Amino acid sequence: MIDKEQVKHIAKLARLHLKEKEISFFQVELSKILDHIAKIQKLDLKDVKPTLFPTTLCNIFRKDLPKKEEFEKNLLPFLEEKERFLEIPPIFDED
Amino acid sequence: MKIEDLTIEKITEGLKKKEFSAQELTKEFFQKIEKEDKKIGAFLTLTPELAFLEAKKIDEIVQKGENLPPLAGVPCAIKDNILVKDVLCTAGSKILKNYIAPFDATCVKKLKDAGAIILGKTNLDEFAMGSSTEYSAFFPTKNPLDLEKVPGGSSGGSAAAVAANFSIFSLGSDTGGSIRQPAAFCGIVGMKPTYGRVSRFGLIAFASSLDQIGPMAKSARDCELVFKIISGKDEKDSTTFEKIKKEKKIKTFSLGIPKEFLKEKIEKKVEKGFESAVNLFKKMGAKIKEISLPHSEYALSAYYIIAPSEASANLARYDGIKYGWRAKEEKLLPLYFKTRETFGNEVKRRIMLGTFALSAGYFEAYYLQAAKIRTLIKKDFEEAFKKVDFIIAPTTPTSPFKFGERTKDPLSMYLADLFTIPVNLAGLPAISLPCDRQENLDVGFQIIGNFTEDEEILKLAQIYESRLLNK
Repeated sequence: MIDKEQVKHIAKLARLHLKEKEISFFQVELSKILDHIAKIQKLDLKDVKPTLFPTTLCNIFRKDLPKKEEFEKNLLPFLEEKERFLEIPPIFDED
Repeated sequence: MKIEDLTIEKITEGLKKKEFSAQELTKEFFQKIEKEDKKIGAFLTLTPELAFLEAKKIDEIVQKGENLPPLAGVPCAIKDNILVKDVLCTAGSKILKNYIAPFDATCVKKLKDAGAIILGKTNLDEFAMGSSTEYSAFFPTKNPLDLEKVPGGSSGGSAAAVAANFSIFSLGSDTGGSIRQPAAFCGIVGMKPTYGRVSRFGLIAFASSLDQIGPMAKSARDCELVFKIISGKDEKDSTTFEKIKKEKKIKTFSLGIPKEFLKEKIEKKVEKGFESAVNLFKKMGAKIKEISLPHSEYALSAYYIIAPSEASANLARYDGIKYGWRAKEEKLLPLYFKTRETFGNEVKRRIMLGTFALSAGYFEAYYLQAAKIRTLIKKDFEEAFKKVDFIIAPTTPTSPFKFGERTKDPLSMYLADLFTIPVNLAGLPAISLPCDRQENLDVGFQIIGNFTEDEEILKLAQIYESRLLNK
C-alpha cells in the first residue's frame, strides 16, 4: 500500500493536480494495481538483460540534407500567436 | 449493390464495370452513417468534403479509362489517434478537442495515394487506453452485434464502423490488444502487424515500443490488401524496416496452443468457440501441439509497468504549451497543472503508475524488472516457434461485456487483454478472426506468427475463412 504523501509526490512529478478526494481515490486504486503486479519482484532476474524495444535495430542514419516540408507553417498549431511570435506565459518569476 | 456484401475487390470490379461510381458509393455510405450512427457512435468526426473530393478524382480516372489505384473508391475509417491532414484529431481526449492535424500520417498518405476514401475518424478510449471505448472523453461506442454491450477497445469505433457496414475497412492501433480485442468483440477481422512493419509516423504515441497500426475489415483478404499498402520502411519512423525473409508457402502446418493460456479463467462460450476453431484446423490437416510460454503469467504485470511508463513520458507533451487546449493561467506551473486536469481518470491512473515506476528508488524494482521479463517472454516465443509454425489462442478470455461492468475495477478491465499483451511485448504479428460466422460471431481467436511473418498469418487466416464458408 502506498501512502498519501507518495501519491502527492507522484502527482507533482507528473504535473497532475489532485483534489483531496482524488488523492484517496488514487491511493486505493494504485495500491490495488501495484499489489497485483508485485509478483514480478519475486523472480530473480540478476543475469537477464532488459528488452526495451522488440527489434534490435540501432543507429539508423540518413544524409543531413535540407528539405522543404509543406506543413512547415502549421507544424505547431499554437492557440496564441502574435505577429511572428508564439505566445506562452512567462517562464521566470519577477521576484 | 448491397453495402454489406461489398469487399475491396468487388468495389474495384464494380467501378471498372461502371456498375456504380465512387461518388455514388461514398454517398451511399454517408447516408447509412447518418441514419444509423446515432445509435452506435462509431464516429467522432465525419469528413464528407475530403471524401467526395477523393471520390471525384477516382471517377475521373474511370472516365479516362486509366488504371485504377489498388484501393480506388474503397470507403474507410481512421481511428482518431492517427493524423489526417486538416482534420480534427482528438485521440478521444478533451485536451486535444480542438487539435487540427497539420500533416498526414504515413499510412494515411499511403491510403490516399492508393485511392481509398476516408469517411471519418472513429471513437476510441482516451489516448487508446482502455478495452471498451467507455474511457472516450466524448461518448462510448456501442457494439453493433448487441447495443447493450461494449465493442471492445481501444479501437472500438473502428471495429464498430466495419461491423455496422459504415466502412469497408478501418485503421486501428494495437498497444496491448487494441485492434484484436475489439475485432473479436464485433465479429470482424483485425490484424496487429510485426513491430516495425507499419510506420508510426503520425500516430499519437501511447507506448512507443508497443504501438503498431493495423487494418480491420470483415475478411482476412481485405486486411491483407490494406496491409500491403500501409506496410513498408518509412524514413520518418526509424523503427520501420522492409521484410527480408522470403514468404513461406503454407501447405502442411503445425499449430501450437499455449497451455498456460488455457489454465486461465475463460468463459464457456469462448472455450467452445476456440474448440470449434481447433477442430476445423484439425480437419484441414493441421498438426496441433501443446506448447509452453512459461513466463506469460507475468506478461500482464510487465505490460502494466512498461506501457504506463512510456505513456507517462509520451503524455508529458500535453502541457498546454505545444498542443491543443490551454488553461487560462498567468504563470507556467499553474498552467501545466490546470491544463492537465482535463485528462480522464484512466489516463491519470496510467500517468501516475508510469511516473511511479520510473521514479527514483523504484526504477530497478519496477521498470527494469519488467523489461527483463520482456526478454524472457520474447525467448518463450522463440523457443515455441522452433516447434510449431504458428500459435493459436483465444483473442480474449470473455465475450463482450455490458457497459459499466468493468469501469469500477480497473484490474478487471486490464484482464480483457490477457491473451493479446504477450504478443505486443514480443513485437510479433497476430490476427484475430471470428471462430465462426454464426453463434460464435462475437468470439475471436488469434493466429500469432513468428517475427515478420505477417504475410503468412494473413494467408493462414484466409485458408481458415474459406474452409469455414465451405464447411
